[in-house]
Amino acid sequence: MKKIFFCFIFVFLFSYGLVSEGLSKESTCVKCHTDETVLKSLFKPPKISLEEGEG
Amino acid sequence: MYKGFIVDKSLLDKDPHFAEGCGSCHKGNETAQDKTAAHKDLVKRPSDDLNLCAPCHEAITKTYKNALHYTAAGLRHGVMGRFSREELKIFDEKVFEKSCRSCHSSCGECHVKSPVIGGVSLGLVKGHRFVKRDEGRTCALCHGGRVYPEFTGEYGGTPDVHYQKGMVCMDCHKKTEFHGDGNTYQSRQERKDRPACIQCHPAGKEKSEKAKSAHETHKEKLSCAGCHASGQYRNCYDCHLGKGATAKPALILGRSPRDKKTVTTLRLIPTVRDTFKDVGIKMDRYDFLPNYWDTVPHNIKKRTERTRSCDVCHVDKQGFLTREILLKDGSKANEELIYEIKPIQK
Repeated sequence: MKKIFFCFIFVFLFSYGLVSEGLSKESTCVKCHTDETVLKSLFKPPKISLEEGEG
Repeated sequence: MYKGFIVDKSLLDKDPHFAEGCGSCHKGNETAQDKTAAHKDLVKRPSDDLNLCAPCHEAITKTYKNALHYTAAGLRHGVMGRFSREELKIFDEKVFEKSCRSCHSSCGECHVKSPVIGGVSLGLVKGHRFVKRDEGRTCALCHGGRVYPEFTGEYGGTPDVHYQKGMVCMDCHKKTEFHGDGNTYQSRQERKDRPACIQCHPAGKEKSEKAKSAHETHKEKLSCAGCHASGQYRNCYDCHLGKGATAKPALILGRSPRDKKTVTTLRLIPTVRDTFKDVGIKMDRYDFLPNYWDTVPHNIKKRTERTRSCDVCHVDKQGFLTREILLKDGSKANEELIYEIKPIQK
């Protein structure tokens, strides 16, 4: 009975740790797109074509 | 330019658009650790598909799918009169869907991110906030070839008086003009809710007798812009598919092609006989439509050369379209727009 109880506690704590880890992991979209330094390092200037607007 | 892609972090918890995460709209891979992998299958313009916005904005997306800003039907309508039936099929397949329609606006291009013109964009309007309006970062981009720089005075003339008074695009162009009203239109000329000067400036409220008399005399013969366009505006010439056009300033007065009884400001449009040569369109009916169309230059002023003195038009004939200045090798229909202005009978 004791063994089952401790197994249950262990599984619970392990699962809780995994879920917390998952929830706190920030999306890489957010990590890059909210950090000016990171974006600057990744940015490549676009090719500019000669066009004009419609109106 | 990278600053245009910076998202305001404070929005992530406050704005319901972010509740489902970035990937819910943009796809890609939110867990990838490098840019290439994160951007794989990225959807840059998710609101091109109106179904994305529909769950919360059902009424607007329902009307917008038929709206001119979305369908770009006006662009097609403007040129199709020059085509035979076969040429129209080629145009629809090879030009309209691939080239013209790339100018259609998704929801995001007015409410989230500046449109890309010639590879350049101002990026997110306000850190990915979903804004109601920001004309200087949205309208100004797509319409920055002609009307917007006229309006602000950047084109070289004086700014439009409405701009000087602090007005911008949507103070005259109401949102139903953009979101649509559920009807399908082929061109903006069909819309009844287009701005008209008399909506704010009805006749009979003039401050001077001279103005009252001038308005009465020219009623239904001359457009408002005919007197109140403050100067030259941009006219575009010689457009070829994939190569763009050139532009020159001019103020041109002549008969409106849509109502030959009215004299108005005309703007040259850049379709020439070989504009679509590269896709095999000769434009069999080129001469059916003129090269000059009625326009409201967005450089309006109360007092101009033409309001100062009647002689500017009736004696000097300044700005009037003549045979000598007609576009070379232009449409034969252009000649019908020439107006022979007469001296004032005293």
